[in-house]
Amino acid sequence: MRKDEKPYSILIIEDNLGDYFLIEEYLAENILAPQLQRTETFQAAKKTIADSPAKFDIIFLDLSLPDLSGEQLIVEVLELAGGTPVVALTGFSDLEFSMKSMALGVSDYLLKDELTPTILYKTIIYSIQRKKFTEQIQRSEKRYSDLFQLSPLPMWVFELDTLRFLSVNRAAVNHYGYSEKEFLSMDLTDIRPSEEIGELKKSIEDAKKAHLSNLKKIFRHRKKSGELITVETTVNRLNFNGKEAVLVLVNDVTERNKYIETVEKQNQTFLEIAWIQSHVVRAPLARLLGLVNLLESEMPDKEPEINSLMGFIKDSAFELDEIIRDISKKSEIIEHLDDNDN
Amino acid sequence: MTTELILVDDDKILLIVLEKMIRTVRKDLQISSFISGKQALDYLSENPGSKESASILIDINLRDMNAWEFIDKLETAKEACPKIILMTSSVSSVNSERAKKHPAVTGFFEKPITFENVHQIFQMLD
Repeated sequence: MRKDEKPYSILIIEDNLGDYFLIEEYLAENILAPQLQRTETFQAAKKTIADSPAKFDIIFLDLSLPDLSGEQLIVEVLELAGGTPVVALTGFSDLEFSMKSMALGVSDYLLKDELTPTILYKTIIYSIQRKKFTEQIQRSEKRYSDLFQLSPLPMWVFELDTLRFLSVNRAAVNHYGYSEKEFLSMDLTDIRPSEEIGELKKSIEDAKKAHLSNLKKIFRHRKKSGELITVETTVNRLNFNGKEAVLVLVNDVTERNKYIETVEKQNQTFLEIAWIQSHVVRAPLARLLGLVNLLESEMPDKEPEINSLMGFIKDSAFELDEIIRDISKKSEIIEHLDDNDN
Repeated sequence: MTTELILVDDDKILLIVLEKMIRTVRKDLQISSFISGKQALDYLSENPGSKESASILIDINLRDMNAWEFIDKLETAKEACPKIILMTSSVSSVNSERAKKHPAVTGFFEKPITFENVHQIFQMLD
């Protein structure tokens, strides 16, 4: 059989030299050049791990060492291992405890009396591979957790049946003023104004029936301070630790809405002013222009001085007329912009 | 040839100016001036003869109604409709567009009405 050519770096913490030789021999059967290091005590192992420039690929640990044994040994070695898979080596007498050690975090346990080269090799491959998968899953979980926790927008998960908050992120805590602990003892009705509870219940019933995904809605929420805010929420159904739940992303649009409202009001006022300019202000101006026209025809032989004064009045009136027309044109452009928006 | 011109404008001063200008151009024309749409409509219903032969020069934005309402009332009340010319002091383009499209409207002028406009009006009416 072809031997595995990977240079596995293996730490064997084993005080019994005979057992160590056995393992060394078995390893050699399937692995071409394993990099073995052996320590006899926990203290020595601690030093070896600390001094080792690179991480070990796998650690074999005898569960009864001269300076430490049992559960405490496992816990301490696992901590030192920092992610490197740890395989327990044990005799029949410790079988029950060996099984318990799995719960503490060891990757596998091997009965020394039943050890074979194949079992040993399989354990190495399996433990290393499984550790990789576990790390991948943990990284991916952390990524999602970070996306949730570090989101600048408030987010939470609530249980569909009870409306209780199951998880909230930091932005929610900062924005609403409730601590995480307070949030987790509350439900959705606690952040909605009382007159909207009926509407909330109804939309929850709808949500139970329909498959909702990225549904956007506008609600009003109440902060701990009592301040009412307008929010746009995006919701997604999900299974949260076995519970039917809904993930909610909150965008506070209170300021945005206020701003839009102000702009709309200003725009309305502006259009009114423009209307006054082109309709109301122009009326007396038209009258003035009409009077000047008439005066010119009624008095054909005016004195030169009167003539030039009349010219000034006329010029002034025409100048005002131009200004009003200009304003009127501009306001019509804005009205057209409005029409296009609607 | 138009024998009677009905002027409707709630601006009394403009009404006087307009009358004087028209009188300068047509000394013998009968001019009837009104400061509201209702007065003008009443006059027309009381004088069926005027309704058939007169022409109307009316301001679009009267206090009691606008010229469009005036035309509606006139048309529903009469089969033979007089020629109608609109005038406005507003500089908004909306009214002129509407006036161009309205079948009952013969002409449209922006105030002030000049002597040139008065001549144009009579060209339209005669």
